[in-house]
Amino acid sequence: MKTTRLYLSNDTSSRAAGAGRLADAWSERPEIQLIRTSPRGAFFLEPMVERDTPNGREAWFNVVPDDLPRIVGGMGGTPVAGIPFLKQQTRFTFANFGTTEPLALDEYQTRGGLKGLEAARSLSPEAIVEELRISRLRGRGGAAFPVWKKWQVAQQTGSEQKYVVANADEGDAGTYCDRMIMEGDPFRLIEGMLICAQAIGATRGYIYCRYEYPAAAQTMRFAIQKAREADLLDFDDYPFDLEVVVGAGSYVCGEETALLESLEGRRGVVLAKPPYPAESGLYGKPTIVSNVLTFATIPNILTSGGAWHASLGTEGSRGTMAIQLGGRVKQPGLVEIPFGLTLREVLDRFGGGMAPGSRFKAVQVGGPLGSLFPESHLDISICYDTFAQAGAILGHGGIVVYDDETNMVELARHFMAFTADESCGKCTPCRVGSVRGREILERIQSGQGTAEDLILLSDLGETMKTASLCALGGRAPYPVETAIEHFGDEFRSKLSAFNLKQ
Amino acid sequence: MTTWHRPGLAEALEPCRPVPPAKPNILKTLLAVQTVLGHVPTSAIPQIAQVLGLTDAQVAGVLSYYSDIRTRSPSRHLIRVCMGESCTANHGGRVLRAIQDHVRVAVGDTTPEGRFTVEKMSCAGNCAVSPTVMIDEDVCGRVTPSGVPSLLEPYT
Amino acid sequence: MNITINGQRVVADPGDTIYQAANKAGIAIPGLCASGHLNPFGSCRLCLCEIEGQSGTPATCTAPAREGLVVQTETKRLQRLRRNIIELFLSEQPAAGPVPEALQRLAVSCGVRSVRYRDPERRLVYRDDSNPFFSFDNAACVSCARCVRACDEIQGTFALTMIGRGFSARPAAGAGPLMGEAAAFATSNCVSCGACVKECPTGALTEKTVLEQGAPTGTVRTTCAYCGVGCAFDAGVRDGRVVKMLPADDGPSNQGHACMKGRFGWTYNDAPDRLRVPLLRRGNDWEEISWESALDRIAQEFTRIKDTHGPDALATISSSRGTNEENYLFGKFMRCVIGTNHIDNCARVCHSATVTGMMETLGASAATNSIQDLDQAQLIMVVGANPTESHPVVGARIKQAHRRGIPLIVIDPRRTELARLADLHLQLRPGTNVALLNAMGHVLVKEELLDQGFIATRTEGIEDWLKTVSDCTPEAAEAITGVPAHLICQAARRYARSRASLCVHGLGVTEHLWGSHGVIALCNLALATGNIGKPGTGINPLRGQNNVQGASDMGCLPTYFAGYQSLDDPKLTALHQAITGRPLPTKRGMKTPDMWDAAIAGRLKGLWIIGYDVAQTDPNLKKVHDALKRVEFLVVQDLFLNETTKFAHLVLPGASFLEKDGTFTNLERRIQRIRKAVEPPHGILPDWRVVCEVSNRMGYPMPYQHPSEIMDEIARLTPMLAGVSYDRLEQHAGLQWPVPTATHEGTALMHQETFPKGKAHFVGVEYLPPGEAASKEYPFVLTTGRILQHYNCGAQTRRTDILNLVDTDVLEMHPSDMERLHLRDGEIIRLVSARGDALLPAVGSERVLPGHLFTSFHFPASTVNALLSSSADESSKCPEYKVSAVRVEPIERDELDPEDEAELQHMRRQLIL
Ligand SMILES: Nc1nc2c(c(=O)[nH]1)N[C@H]1C(S)=C(S)[C@@H](COP(=O)(O)OP(=O)(O)OC[C@H]3O[C@@H](n4cnc5c(=O)[nH]c(N)nc54)[C@H](O)[C@@H]3O)O[C@H]1N2
Ligand SMILES: Nc1nc2c(c(=O)[nH]1)N[C@H]1C(S)=C(S)[C@@H](COP(=O)(O)OP(=O)(O)OC[C@H]3O[C@@H](n4cnc5c(=O)[nH]c(N)nc54)[C@H](O)[C@@H]3O)O[C@H]1N2
Ligand SMILES: Cc1cc2nc3c(=O)[nH]c(=O)nc-3n(C[C@H](O)[C@H](O)[C@H](O)COP(=O)(O)O)c2cc1C
Ligand code: SF4
Ligand code: SF4
Ligand code: SF4
Ligand code: SF4
Ligand code: SF4
Ligand code: FES
Ligand code: FES
Ligand SMILES: [Mo]
Repeated sequence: MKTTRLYLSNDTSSRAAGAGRLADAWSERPEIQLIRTSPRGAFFLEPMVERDTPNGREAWFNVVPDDLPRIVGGMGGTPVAGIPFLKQQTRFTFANFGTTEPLALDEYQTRGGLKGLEAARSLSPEAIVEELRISRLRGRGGAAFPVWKKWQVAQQTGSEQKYVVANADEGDAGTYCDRMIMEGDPFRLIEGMLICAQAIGATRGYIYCRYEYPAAAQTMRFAIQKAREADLLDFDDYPFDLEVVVGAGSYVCGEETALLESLEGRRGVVLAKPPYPAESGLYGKPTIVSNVLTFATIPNILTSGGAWHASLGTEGSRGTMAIQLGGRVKQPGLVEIPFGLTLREVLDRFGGGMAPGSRFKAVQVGGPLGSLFPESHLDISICYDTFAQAGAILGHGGIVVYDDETNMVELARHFMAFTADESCGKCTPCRVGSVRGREILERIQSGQGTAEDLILLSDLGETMKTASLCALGGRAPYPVETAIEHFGDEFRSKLSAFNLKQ
Repeated sequence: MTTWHRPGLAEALEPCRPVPPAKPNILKTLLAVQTVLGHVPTSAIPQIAQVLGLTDAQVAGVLSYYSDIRTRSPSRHLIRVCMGESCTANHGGRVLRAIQDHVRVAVGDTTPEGRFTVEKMSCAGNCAVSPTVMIDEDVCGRVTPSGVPSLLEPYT
Repeated sequence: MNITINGQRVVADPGDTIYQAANKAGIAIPGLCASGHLNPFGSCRLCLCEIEGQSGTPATCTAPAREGLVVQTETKRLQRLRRNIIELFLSEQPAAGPVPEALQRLAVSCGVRSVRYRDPERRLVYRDDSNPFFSFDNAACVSCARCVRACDEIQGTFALTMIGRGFSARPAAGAGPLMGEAAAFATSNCVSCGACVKECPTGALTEKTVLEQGAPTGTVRTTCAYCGVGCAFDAGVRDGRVVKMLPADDGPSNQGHACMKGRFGWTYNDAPDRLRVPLLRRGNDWEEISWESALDRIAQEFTRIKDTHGPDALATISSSRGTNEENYLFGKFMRCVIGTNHIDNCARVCHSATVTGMMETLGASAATNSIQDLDQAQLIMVVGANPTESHPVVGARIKQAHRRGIPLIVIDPRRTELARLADLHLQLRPGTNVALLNAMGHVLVKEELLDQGFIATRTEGIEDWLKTVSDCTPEAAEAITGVPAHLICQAARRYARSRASLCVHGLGVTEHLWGSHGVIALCNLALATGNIGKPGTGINPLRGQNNVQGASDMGCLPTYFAGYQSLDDPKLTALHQAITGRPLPTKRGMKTPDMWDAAIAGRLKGLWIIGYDVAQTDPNLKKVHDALKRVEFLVVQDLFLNETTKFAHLVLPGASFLEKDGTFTNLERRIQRIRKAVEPPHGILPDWRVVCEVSNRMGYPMPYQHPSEIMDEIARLTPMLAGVSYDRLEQHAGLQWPVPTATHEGTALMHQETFPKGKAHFVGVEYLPPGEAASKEYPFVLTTGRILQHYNCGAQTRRTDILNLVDTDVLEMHPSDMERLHLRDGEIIRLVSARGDALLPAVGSERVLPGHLFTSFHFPASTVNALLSSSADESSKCPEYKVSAVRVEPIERDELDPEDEAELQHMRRQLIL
């Protein structure tokens, strides 16, 4: 009997949506051969099954086990190339997604992988940094700092030992592209890290992966093993060692200094800078900490040139942005597009409107520390600088849409409670302030709040914003304050009547 | 100076014993112990410190910092409900309430027969198919309050 | 570097933070978490600033000063932020009870009047009073982690941590608080150095003496009177009593740090059983007599003995615990009034072998370098010393150097704290130093690691040494010492190649049958590699008592006059006659052990001992006791009744270091002032006044009004101290000898260009075995030494709350031996040697090797020294405290009377904890 090759994503979210159950149900079926690939990123369609046709791949959406005969029979499939959600994207970093098996190094290479590393190995360290300078790549982890500048510092700081660390803590709720890369295209991350090691002269690398991502950590371990077996980790004059290290549940450990503390096995507490990790990081040695997505962007830059990368996007934000849609949108999933579309355009074109039966209330960009935008503020363009001017952040590219059933006072309390829970407890504005903020919001929620409380909250907000040591305390007031700014009535109507009269 | 002994602890610790020039790593060690014992009892701190060549304080500081390191012995199944923004937007709070109603236990507590412990968690990176519930290592997406009973059924 | 702060131009040094630069310029920036002793941290966020041309409000305590910065710290916005932060601090304070003074002051100065937060969650109510010396109150804490950082970055003990995170983050000792333990300090590895207490900005950590008696109202700068480090302290005084001892930041040898004994172990000063009045023996009783009659009595007896038996029938032992001035005067008394050189001091049993060994090789017998050199050394080698217990401030400094990556070599039979940290621990058999050090020399020669330039220009006699080491192969040494040959090789290579290797040594080198040879072998290595006369190098004996260096410097030696001047030097003889009006006796006097022989032989009739408990701390106690019994007239001058006073005919009370003026000389030759902080009780005379009074009565007036006059005389008689005067000692750094002239700034680093004798001498010394070895009858080798908590005879530390921590000597035995002998931890055993026996609780310890035992000697009840022999280094007479052959016997229950039984039960409880 002729077997049909079917493609089914093995990504955590695909499995959570039912891909696992499909695979289990079909495991004994002789008529098919199931290939577990990376996901397309169109998670609203998952579980999604694909098969090859003369005209390219066709896909079946939201598949249940009983759909198998239909799929094997080739009935009712949609050409993948025709899926609007995917068609409108510009996939560079995520180009392999949905097509390759994550741990197939040969496939990775066939599709252009390792060219960047090859290019880097033919360049001097200075030339690699120069290429990055030309590319105008900014870090994708949140702070958007020019990558080349960090690399240059680490390169120029003399030391026998240097480190490359991939920040895979991906703490921002609503973001998942780092997880996708690690589970779906792990060699891209490794390649990016090796290029960095080449540029700065590092001999050891770590991938600091959050505890919540067991599958990603495991895939990376396998991938590293394969890379080692393929001698990818052998540099001309020294071996490069790469290791996955798992965190243990602390949002602040995504902050680079806290991350390095945690990597050394200590309390993940934020350190004052300077010194910056690039001069003195892990075990006091020069260390590059970059986000997973940042590293994954780099192979293409070395393959196609910095100028190519700089040709995409807006003035201050070059290249593509990996947007992760979540919350109450109809079409949650990964969107890679050049910077520059407005928030509204992204929501309309890719989000596809609201989930059935719900109405738009607000959207939050940039994780739990990001600002809220109401309907009237959606025409802001997706670009680091425009967002910064608006006092907002793009962060790691997470976009979460809230519907009209959301209680804004409760949401604001939720944000402050998050900060209070996750505060490392080092600096006063955040250690004490976050608890005070939560208490005020709890009081308002319970109807005991007064107008003075709102003033106190804004005073506290200023203190946290300007005086905190790191961005957890420093950004915590933003989602709360934008909630009050745009949905003030919800807060005022909760204030106790006695005080309203005053 | 009697050394306190718990089956498995010494074995779990042995691979963590630092071999110079490698430095001792407390967090890794605690996670290794948790993998073997399911949790890290505070009474194990002195032995851990001794193996690592560090002080009790150093170990205690790390142990008390990370929320994913448990000091109490776990139930058979750990239910973790995501409280991240995407799950919150998708009304994950209602799922949490449904779970609590179903298994009758407060957040952080364990059911009397030791079957489930219910905890909140931060984002599982599963936001695109949220709300998310993690049961042990299984990630479940698009969980609805009404789907809770059948979701939990297989975990005995 | 020039920066502008609030419009004021400020000069900053490289590496300064803005906060430090401001501080130096006298600009106060509020702040709770920053400290000059700790690395930048930046947690309280009170010290924020605005910098022209930069956005944001960085913390000045973490922001480096950079050329041209224009900084504001008092803008409206910053003041508002500061008020809000203080308000946050206040909001977590307990609702009832006083706000810590420091917070209150801040609130007042910044204008915070009230807390706007309603019903806020407060700090956890948690107190820990379990440390005997200080308390922790979480209510007053601001979670700044200064205490934790002090324990890590200054003391290096890591007894503290922050626990929890977020709002609940707070400091804690050990793991106690996580394990539901309230007595966390007591069960942690805290060594009560007090660094955390000193760093605490709010008083959340406070000394119990201050809690009980109130904060000091005044301070007096003085110097610690325990060990040779010579830590500078500000004695805090209130109502005529000392209530606190705070280590001084500008203390040259301690830079603000201290240890348990100096910081908290001074309360013996107010012990109820301090001697108050002179006591005269009446049979088995003491009769209290007046000072007048006591002084008359001494003068009469000494005159009588001198007249009937001649000057050589009298001897004195001076106190290495007393001041330079007292020691000098005591020597002067013997030489000018009695006319003999029969004077010695406690250095005899301590570093006399160092004196002999260094004199022979280098021509000077004191540390060649300074404590500060530990920061310049590229390698530190610790030989037979246990500084984290014996010289804790130096020990902490070595630990910090090691943390910075400076390699550490430890040569010690025991796995001490430093040995555990060390890159190389050469765990040799006790008494085999010379074999090991010679083998290192062998490797240096064989691998051509010698500093030929240095050898050629600065030394003589290398042939002798080359000949000696030529057959001392590492393999041969391995057989003798038990140290693997490859470790010996590595140690030699690292010592030679580091560029600057600093050696410190202790009693593990000196207190042996061949102790001075050990010192010589060590000096040979330094000379062969050029590790001397340069910063960060040298041979540095860790001198023991606070003034053991000074007592010898002052000439309380039977063989030298002050400044190690030869007794037969004609120039000195003339000068002595001119200044003192009396001739200098030229005949060498008796060393302490010779005194015991003389007493037993009936030649020594009168003996005067100041501050030295020979009846407990000298070796072979039976012999010492016999000798003391034979003396016709024994005067003992001490703060307390001790073992030696049991033999005395007359006991005089002494004034403590807190009650008198004078100087001590520390282990780096630094002469520092002690100053009277409180009056001696009951009109007690300080030791120097007693000597003057007796001398006056014996017809040789000593009309000194103040110790400074004595120092002036010392300077005139002693070239190496010629430039020393009390005026000059007012500077906090004191003076390091040699100070040849009044304008000479003192000598931090010796032998830079020449050695005292011109060139240094190599002296070949062969390995010779210790006096005793393990045998069938006595299968264990016993080493005695110190523990952190107690001090020598224990007379002082046993009268403080230190007793709550350790109340017995303990025998450390390897767990495998414990098992073999079926001993339980804490079980009392009998140690038996050829001389005597002692009862001690045994405890399993991996600090010692199988077959090796260790105990301290701080409790008279354990009579440890009864076990020891009188064997001693031939040339220096330094006793062999470190090697005795013993056996371990179980004890029968019925041997103990019920009282002992109860006592032992108690000891056991303490031990097993
Ligand atoms: N806490 C405290 N501090 C003190 C004192 C005190 O009583 N208590 N006393 C003070 C005095 S008077 C002095 S002299 C100093 C002494 O200070 P240290 O010199 O440190 O004194 P010890 O502890 O007697 O011995 C030091 C080390 O020598 C080791 N040792 C024994 N035998 C050998 C050997 O054959 N070779 C080698 N290489 N090492 C050996 C021992 O194991 C021990 O660790 O301390 C001073 N400081
Ligand atoms: N088994 C064994 N025995 C040893 C050693 C060893 O390693 N092992 N080490 C030896 C060494 S190195 C030393 S230095 C000795 C030390 O032994 P000791 O000198 O006997 O002991 P200390 O406790 O230093 O002080 C002795 C006395 O001086 C008194 N004193 C303190 N200050 C003053 C003062 O200002 N005036 C007067 N009048 N009296 C004062 C104290 O009260 C105490 O009684 O012990 C030696 N004994
Ligand atoms: C509270 C906090 C959490 C952070 N979490 C993350 C994270 O999860 N992942 C990440 O890449 N960067 C995170 N960052 C940013 C990092 O500090 C750092 O800027 C980044 O890893 C640098 O990489 P990039 O240059 O590639 O962006 C966080 C920062 C803060 C203040
Ligand atoms: S802002 Fe919060 S998380 Fe960041 S350093 Fe301060 S206390 Fe820690
Ligand atoms: S007293 Fe010293 S050792 Fe004890 S906790 Fe404080 S700093 Fe650490
Ligand atoms: S005890 Fe003192 S030093 Fe330690 S954290 Fe609290 S306030 Fe700071
Ligand atoms: S180290 Fe020595 S001098 Fe310093 S405080 Fe301790 S005992 Fe005193
Ligand atoms: S131990 Fe080895 S390296 Fe050292 S001298 Fe002997 S043979 Fe040479
Ligand atoms: S917010 Fe719940 S999985 Fe991301
Ligand atoms: S003093 Fe600078 S932050 Fe505390
Ligand atoms: Mo001593």
